[in-house]
Amino acid sequence: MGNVTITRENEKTVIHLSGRIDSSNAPQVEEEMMKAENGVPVMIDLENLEYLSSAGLRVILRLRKNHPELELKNASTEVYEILDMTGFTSMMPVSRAYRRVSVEGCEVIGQGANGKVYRIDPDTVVKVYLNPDSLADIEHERDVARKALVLGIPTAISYDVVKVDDHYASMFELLNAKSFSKLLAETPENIDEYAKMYIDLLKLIHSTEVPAGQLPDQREIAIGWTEFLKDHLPKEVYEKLHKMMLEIPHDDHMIHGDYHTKNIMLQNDEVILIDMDTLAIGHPVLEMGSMYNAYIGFNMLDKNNVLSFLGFPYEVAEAFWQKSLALYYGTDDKEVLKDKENKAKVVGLIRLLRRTIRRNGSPELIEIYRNELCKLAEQVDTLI
Amino acid sequence: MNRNKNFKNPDLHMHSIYSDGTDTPAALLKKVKAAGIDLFSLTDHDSCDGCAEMQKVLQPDDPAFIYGVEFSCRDNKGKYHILGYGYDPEKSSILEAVQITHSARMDKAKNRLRFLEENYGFAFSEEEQNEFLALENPGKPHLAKMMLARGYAADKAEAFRILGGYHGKERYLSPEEAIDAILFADGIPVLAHGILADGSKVLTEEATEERISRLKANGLMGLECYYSGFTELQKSSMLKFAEIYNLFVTAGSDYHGANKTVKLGNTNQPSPEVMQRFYKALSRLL
Repeated sequence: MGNVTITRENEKTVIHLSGRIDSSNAPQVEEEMMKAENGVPVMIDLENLEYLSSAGLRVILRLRKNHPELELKNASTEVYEILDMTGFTSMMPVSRAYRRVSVEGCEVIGQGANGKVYRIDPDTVVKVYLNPDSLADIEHERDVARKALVLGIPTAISYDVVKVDDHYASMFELLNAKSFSKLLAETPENIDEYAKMYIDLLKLIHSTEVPAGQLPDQREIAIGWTEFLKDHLPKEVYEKLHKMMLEIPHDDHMIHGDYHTKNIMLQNDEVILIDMDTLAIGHPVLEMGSMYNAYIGFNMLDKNNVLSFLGFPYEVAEAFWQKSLALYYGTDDKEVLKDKENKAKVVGLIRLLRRTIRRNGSPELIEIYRNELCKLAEQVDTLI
Repeated sequence: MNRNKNFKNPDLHMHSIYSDGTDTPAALLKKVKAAGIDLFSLTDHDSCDGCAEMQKVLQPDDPAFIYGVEFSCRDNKGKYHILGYGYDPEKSSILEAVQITHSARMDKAKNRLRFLEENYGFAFSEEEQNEFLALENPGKPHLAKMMLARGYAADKAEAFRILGGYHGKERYLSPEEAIDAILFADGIPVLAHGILADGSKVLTEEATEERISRLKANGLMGLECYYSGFTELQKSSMLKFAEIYNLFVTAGSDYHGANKTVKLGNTNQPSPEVMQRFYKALSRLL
């Protein structure tokens, strides 16, 4: 069998190289490759290539003379190393093949907005993205994680991108790490200690100023949610909610956006974030809204939801949320806390109502959210 | 090549009697060992024959050796020396390149003799001429010696000055052709003493960079940045270019035996960290 097959994919000629290419077969490989039509973009797929010598590199250079836009993809670690060492990676686009990893039978230790986190061995976790076309998301998350780390937020940064079945996944090193969900499920008696660590990290996040333009503005996103509800709420309710949302001031401090116990890990004695794709800037009430949802809002129709989502019973969730509120605002005053909770609830339920309507969710649930929002509109005059 | 081997004292550029050096490969090997060199290459001008002989005299415990060659190249922008490492000497491309550069040298040798006779009236006996032309690579140093022996020049410098007046029109190998021939034979092409062109002049940084970027696009993989003849400034320019153009770095003395004063193993203090990538390339490519 030869070392070259040529296929056509989306207006592109794809040259698949396989086996080993060196001076003994390079002339034949060159002859085959030169059959690629001029004027059509060419991509070389290196997936099945084991090795290439200087003579193999030379053939690629010669092809590039006819096809200056030449791209190389799916280079194995070995082949990529050769291309990198010889400077080819700086001459033409070269992408690596993704290592394949199996998560079969692995424990799910976390769940974020766009993926599931599995532990594949004691030191390594892998986050598998739901969307099969998620390379851009992965890059975004790596990018914001790096930014967060630079700004002093403890976070795990993925060291490799791999493939799990047809999905992309990020690999992280996490030694002895347990999610706060697991900790609360296993030792709920330590709830005070966990709430304190959880809120300490949240305060650190909220005290972190983010240089302009690095993260999305959650306020704008939340205004968008509100405006979606224009035709789904009584006019005066909508107008009041919209006005209150607009009155939230711009804030360039970081918020996490999905800050619940599955996304926070305790690693040795350090609390770290694992799911970073929702990082944004904004006023703390926008964070509180999403936290309210995780512990209370999502469970309004069925309190068992929390057990399947966070892994501990509703009573624990409720207690954890109340303790978190008290710690965050530094008070035990029931009235103050009720007011803070209501503000969070407004933000949270606006999001949930929009989400449920958009997903054609249960009419019963839509009704619950709508009624709650109408009641809140009478009780709450400001979100700040 | 051993994988991931680190060398402490490399010298990847030296000449034997197969070009214009004065040592036989066996004598050279002795000196390499005495100098404590642990990785070396014999890079005769336009000839691989010295390497074949070196291979025969090498013993298993001797320093690591890689095949080398230094092609004399030229194009309308000037002269270049292109080093080739680790190539397969049996490959047609190397044989052809040696053939072209070698006959360019032989033609040039004959033309030089004619030039000396026609312009200066310097005559050599048929025996002298035959001995000269029978050399593997008859170059200026040999001719200079012959001139001195006959009293045609007072010293080496004068002989070289006279010989420098000859500008021939022999068929030359372009640097791109040399690189292509080396790659075709699974070798590693490296630009020798880049900023010094063929060793006879100093190029500007701009001219050097133009050469490097053009040759890189044609497959050049490395730059000889640690070179006995470089000033510190030249060395750092070359290292900077290696960085910018993502080329690896080699080290060479350009030892010529008694024909030049440079000492074997004088490679201008190569940094082991910088050389690492070349060692890795040797282990992966050869």
